Amino acid sequence: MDLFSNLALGFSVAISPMALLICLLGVSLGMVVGVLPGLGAITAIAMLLPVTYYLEPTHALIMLAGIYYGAAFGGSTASILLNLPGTPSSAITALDGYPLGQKGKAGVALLVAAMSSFFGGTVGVLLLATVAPALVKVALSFSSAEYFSVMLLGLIAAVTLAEGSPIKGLIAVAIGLLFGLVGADPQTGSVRYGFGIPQMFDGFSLVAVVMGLFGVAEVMANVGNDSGHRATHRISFREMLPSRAELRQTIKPILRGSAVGSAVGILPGTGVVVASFMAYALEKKISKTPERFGQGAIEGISAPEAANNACTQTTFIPTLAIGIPGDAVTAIMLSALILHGITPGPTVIASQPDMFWGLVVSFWIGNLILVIMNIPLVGIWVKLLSIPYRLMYPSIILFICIGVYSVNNSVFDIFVALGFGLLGLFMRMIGLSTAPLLLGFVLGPMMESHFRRALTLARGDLGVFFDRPVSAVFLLLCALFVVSWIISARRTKRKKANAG
Amino acid sequence: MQKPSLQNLLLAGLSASIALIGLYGAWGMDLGSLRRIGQGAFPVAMSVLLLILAAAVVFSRSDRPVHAPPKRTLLLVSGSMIAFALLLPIAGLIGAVIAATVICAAASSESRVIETIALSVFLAASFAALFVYGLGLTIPLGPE
Repeated sequence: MDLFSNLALGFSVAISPMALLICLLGVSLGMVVGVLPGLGAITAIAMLLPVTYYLEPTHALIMLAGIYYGAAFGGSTASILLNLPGTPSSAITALDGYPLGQKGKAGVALLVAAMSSFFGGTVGVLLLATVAPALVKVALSFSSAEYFSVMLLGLIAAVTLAEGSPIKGLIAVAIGLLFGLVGADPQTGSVRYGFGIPQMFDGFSLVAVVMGLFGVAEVMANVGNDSGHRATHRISFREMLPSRAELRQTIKPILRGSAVGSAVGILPGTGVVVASFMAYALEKKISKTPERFGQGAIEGISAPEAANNACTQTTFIPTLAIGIPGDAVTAIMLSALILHGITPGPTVIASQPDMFWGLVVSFWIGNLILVIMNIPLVGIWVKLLSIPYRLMYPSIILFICIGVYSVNNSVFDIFVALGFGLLGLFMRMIGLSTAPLLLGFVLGPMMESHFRRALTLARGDLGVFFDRPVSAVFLLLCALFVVSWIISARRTKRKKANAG
Repeated sequence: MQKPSLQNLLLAGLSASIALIGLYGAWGMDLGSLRRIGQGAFPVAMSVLLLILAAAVVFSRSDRPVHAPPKRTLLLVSGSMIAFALLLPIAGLIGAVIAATVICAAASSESRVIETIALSVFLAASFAALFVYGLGLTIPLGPE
């Protein structure tokens, strides 16, 4: 079968010593940033983007992706042992993981989390290997109308599934879209929102925006809040083995979690936080004993952990098959591809088969490394947490400064990062999430180009978005999301009226 | 009608001011027609959307109270990034890193003098090794 020869090609790329080393490096770094609070995968990837310019494109992506799913893996450790979620998505693992640890079952929780993550990751990789090439066949027939509609769907999905009300999500997206428009208009070449500053004529650098919104803002919010944490708990291998009953309890949640995570991942615009949250909510809803959740229910770990790892893998489906970033992290990876001279889009898999299949296989190897590494090295991850924050945050800020500068050798970009840092901090204070903003920033200019091109080709006929069946389906899904906002808004209003 | 919360007012203020800057910057841009959409159409549409959302958000439900970080953190962390940006072309990488680290560390009351100096030297050395020698970036190490 074709798939096997492709996978064989992938193995030949992924098990070369250099690729293995890069993969190991990526997942270890991912584990570290996942464990450490205040340094998410997205900041770490943006920080290392300049470093990967010096690698060949396949290796660059292997490393960046390794950080991404490594962080999803590592985030659970600190959640379970110390109730300190290193990443937003693992905050959900902390809900039941920490109570389990308190009951002396930290070992079981860690093993179940690792197993669930591995299973979810494997499901995600398999889907990536089978769905992405199939999706390419559809995507090759996409015209600008379809591209516009699928990106609109991505933005609307991000708004719907983000925390807080859709209005807030929309505000974040619209702000991001406006920031994305800064710089030369791709169709006419004239500069928009330059305000006479030459450095703004090329638009804001993505790395500077990401480092500001996520890195700088996070540091500013955390300084003075916490010092080092020390865990004295030691875990032996014996206590990790779950009982037969516990094992039985986790199998179905892992399967459901993987399914939820994969579905969320395939949808462009949504991320791991949504995946783990939805998987947890689903388990709680269908459980016969929902009151156990939050008290140390093992399903409360396995489902979201499986979901977030399945999601990190399937996010690459829209990213690599269509060229539309599945979430903020893959948006940065797409920019890495562009910097290496590869135009993201449906032709990538056909024109760079060794890269695509090498990535697929290396993702799975990475997951394997993680599950093997995670358990014996728990002690090291915990020790990492005892590094005092007073030493960590200046290092993070300085790394951000030099990292941002090195992309374009531009001092101006450091000020951009600072500006977006302050904006991100302010948004946090007023309860506005920053991930939709970044998505708007990335997708906005692409959407605008496709919208204009589609209309020009259709001689100004807006019907072009509805006449083409695939585009019409995407728009219908958008409409369904919007209807769901109205229904849920009505419901909360009625609830309020009943209560008051 | 309930009183709008501070959080929502700030939110509306942020959206409205960005929308107004958006409209101001789009002033005089060509809107074009459906057949040939001008460069001004999207900016204007987004700014107007943002303005409408700003009005809509005032009376929406708000969930969390506002927590501002201490002024000292804001000033010193910002100050360290500004210092780095300004010093890099003048003093070179090593001077900029050391100065910025010291300013940044001063933001936390837990920082200690000796430790901070050691950290700054360590960071300067490792950045020089990684970026200048490792990746071959053309940043001067010291003043020209």
